[in-house]
Amino acid sequence: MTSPWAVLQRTLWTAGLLSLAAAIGILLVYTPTEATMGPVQKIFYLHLPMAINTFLACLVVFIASIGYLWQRSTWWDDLAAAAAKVAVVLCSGVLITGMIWGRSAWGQWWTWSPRLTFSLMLWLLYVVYLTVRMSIESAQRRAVVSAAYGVIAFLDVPLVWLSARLLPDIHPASIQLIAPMKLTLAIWFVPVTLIACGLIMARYNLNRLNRQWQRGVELVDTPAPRMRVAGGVA
Amino acid sequence: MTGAQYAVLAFVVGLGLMLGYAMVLWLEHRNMARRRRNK
Repeated sequence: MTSPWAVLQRTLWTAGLLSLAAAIGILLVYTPTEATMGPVQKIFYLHLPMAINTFLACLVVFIASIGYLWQRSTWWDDLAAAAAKVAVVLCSGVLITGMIWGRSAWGQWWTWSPRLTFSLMLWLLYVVYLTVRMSIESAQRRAVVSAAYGVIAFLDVPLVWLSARLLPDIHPASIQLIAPMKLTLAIWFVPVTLIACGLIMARYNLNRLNRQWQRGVELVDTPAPRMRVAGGVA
Repeated sequence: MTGAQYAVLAFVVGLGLMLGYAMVLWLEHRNMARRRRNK
C-alpha cells in the first residue's frame, strides 16, 4: 500500500512539473517583453523565485539545526542536511542565472558588488557545511557540529537581503513591474517553490533510508554480545 | 549573443540544475531500493 508521505510527494512533483509547463507557456505567449532590457529581462522570473527559495532552504537548515540542538533527534539532522544540499543547488542557479543576466545587461559576468559578494559567500558557507558533514566520521559529533554551523551560516541570509538596500550596489534593490509582469512573477513562484519542496523531501527521504540502511549493516556486521556466565563466556 | 539567447541559456541552466538534481535523487532512490531487495 502506498504511504501518505509517498502520495504527498507524488502530488507535489506532479503539481510542480505541470505548473512549470504552464509557467513556461505563459512566459512565451503572455508576458510582454520589457522595453529597455528586452528579452533578457525574462531571466528575472526564474532568478527571483530561485533566490527566495534559497533563503527558505537556508531557513529550514537554521530551524532544523536549532531543533537538533534542542531535541537531539536524528530526523532534525537529516532534514538540515537535505535542505543544505537543496540550498546549494538553488544558490548555484541564482548565481549562474544572475551572471548570465549581468553579462547581457552590464557587459560583464561578475562584479564584486555587495549583494553578489554576499550571495557568493552564502553559496560557499553551505558548500563548507556539506564538506564539514562529510569530514566528520562520528554521526553524533557530525550532527552537533553541523547544527552549530547551520545556525551561524544563516546569519548571511539577512546580509544578502539587506545589502542592496543599505549599501551602494549595482544590483537592483527593487524593480518596477507592470501588471502582466507581476502576474508572471507570481506564477513562476509556484513551480519553483513546489520543486524546491519536492527536492528537500526527496533528499530527506534518502537520508532517512541511508540511516536505516547503515544501522541495519552495523547490526549485521557487529557480532552479538556474548553473555557472561559464571565460570566463563557463554 | 543576443538577449534572447542569453535568456534561453539562463533558463536551460537554472531549470537544468533543479531538474537534473531531481533526476540524481530519483536514480539514487532506485539504486537504494534495488540494494535493499538484493540484501
